[in-house]
Amino acid sequence: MSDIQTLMRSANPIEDAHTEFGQDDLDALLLLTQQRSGDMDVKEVTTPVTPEKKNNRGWLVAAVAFASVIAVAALALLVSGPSEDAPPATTPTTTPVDVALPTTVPPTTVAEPTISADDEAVLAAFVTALNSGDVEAFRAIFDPAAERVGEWEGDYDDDLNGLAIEAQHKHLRGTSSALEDCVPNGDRVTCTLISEGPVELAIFQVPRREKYNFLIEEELILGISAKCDICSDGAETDGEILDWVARFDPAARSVMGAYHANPGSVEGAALWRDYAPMWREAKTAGTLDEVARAMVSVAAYEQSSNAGDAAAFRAAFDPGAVRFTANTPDLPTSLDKIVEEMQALSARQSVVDLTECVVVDRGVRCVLVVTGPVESAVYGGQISGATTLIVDDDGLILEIRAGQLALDVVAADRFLDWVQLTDPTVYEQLLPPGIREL
Amino acid sequence: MATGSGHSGTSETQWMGMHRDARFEGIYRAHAADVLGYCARRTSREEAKDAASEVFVVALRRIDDMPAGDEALPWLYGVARNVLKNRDRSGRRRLRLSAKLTTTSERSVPGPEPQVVRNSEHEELLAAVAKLPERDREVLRLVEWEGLSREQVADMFFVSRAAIDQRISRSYKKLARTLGVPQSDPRTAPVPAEEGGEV
Repeated sequence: MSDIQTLMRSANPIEDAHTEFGQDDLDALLLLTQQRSGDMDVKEVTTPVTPEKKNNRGWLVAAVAFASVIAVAALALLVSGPSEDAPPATTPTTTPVDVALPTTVPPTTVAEPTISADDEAVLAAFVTALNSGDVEAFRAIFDPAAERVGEWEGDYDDDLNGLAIEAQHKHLRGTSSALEDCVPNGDRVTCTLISEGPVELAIFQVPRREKYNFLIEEELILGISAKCDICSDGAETDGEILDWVARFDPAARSVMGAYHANPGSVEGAALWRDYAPMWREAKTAGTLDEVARAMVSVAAYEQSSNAGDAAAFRAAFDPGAVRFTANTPDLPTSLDKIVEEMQALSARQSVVDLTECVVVDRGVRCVLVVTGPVESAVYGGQISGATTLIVDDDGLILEIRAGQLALDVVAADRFLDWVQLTDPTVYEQLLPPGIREL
Repeated sequence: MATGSGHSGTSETQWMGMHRDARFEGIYRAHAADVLGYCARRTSREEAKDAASEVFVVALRRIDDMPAGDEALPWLYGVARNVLKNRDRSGRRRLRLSAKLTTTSERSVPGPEPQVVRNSEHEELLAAVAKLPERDREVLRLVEWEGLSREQVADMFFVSRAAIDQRISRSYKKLARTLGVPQSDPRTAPVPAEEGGEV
């Protein structure tokens, strides 16, 4: 033992509490505890209240009270006698006697143990940071010395970094969280964390509920342990979703699987947000096979388009495909035109993303989003529009119905006018999809 | 030092099956002195009694949530720690309010240090301990004064055993530096005998 440790032990003001405190001290402590506990019982515990029996003699009490009032008034008149100064006897000045007896007593309210205002503020900051996806704000409410912040079900430990990333990705996949039923629990505060969003609803069908124990010190969170109440079928469902996605988009499945094991990619969060609700919808409708087939065409369209691979793009279409519409249903165009447009997008580094897909009769309707430097320069962001792919039994695209693109036509026109004047030779190449036919 | 055995001889099932009053009685008999000692080491004797009774009121109310066996005492210490901190906070708030009302300069807030100091050497040590970060201070006292194992303290603080080792080592280094006391290898020296370290 080191000198300093010896010194520390010898500085113990109470070396042995069991010899330091006698039975009298302990009896006094017990008495004090019992008194306080008795106070607590009165204040905090609902005392069963037996409703008083309805008083069947209420009429008798009322009659006696009324007779008393009359008798007192008559006696007063007899004693004082009539007086000319006296005001005319109009309204009786006696106070009405309330003879109604209460038949029930309001129940005593249970006073739940409350948490301190400081702890409450920390918990509110936790939820705000969680919902905003603000990693820095999230980190700021944890003690930097918190070595282990997550002690999750099973053998999975998480650190602050992992928890911060998970918070960010909850935000990215559209999950909102709330803390409810917070109560002190020994030296911790126990709350129910309710997470609700497309992914949670797809996997669990109801908002996910987890019991969180917070260890808060000096207005900072030192530790969290969590236990999930509604997670039992989650792992199985997660697996089903991944298997299903693998049927039409193996690359996405791979990203989603990696995200599931260790949340950390924006893309992973986005894919779960897209595919989990679709899986739930298809499973409920009994159309998992049909949707998977339709999604083959979506994935082929998207991937070949972004790769600028004309051959692969054409291969995604049914050889008998005859109808393509752009922007308005009555403007048919050809596969060649579509391919040409796809190549133009690829050449100018625009990325096509088919997202928020839902299954429709014989196909799938998605939101087509195009992002890239040109879209950013001309429209200040992206262009998007509903696009429906009608597929055949083999999952090949038979027909495309493209809705109106959401874009700033005025900005586009000005830009195209400017390009036309500046360099007419590149004008044709810069036309974004759909504009050419307008 | 903690010597109470609690209900460690009672199985979890037996424990839960016992009547609440019997459970509380067992807890109280085993740990009242320890809890009183914990509080008395950190505040005045009078305050300690008051705080300890608050701890047992909480224990009585949450008897169903209390862990059984060897985990009961650390749980009670955790409650005691919070009770003392709350009292300390309330004291600070009262002082702040009082300072505002009287517009006098802010008085120094009395710390929760023990009232019993045996000699000047201890006084110096305790002054140095008081300068440690709150959590380091508490970890050190729980291990050296309350006699909890490092695993128990790690569970209380929700950190790994290695983290507790680090904290203690760091604290002893700081104390040795402040007091000019030679410090042997911090990784072996502070480990209590019951955990396999040297005494």
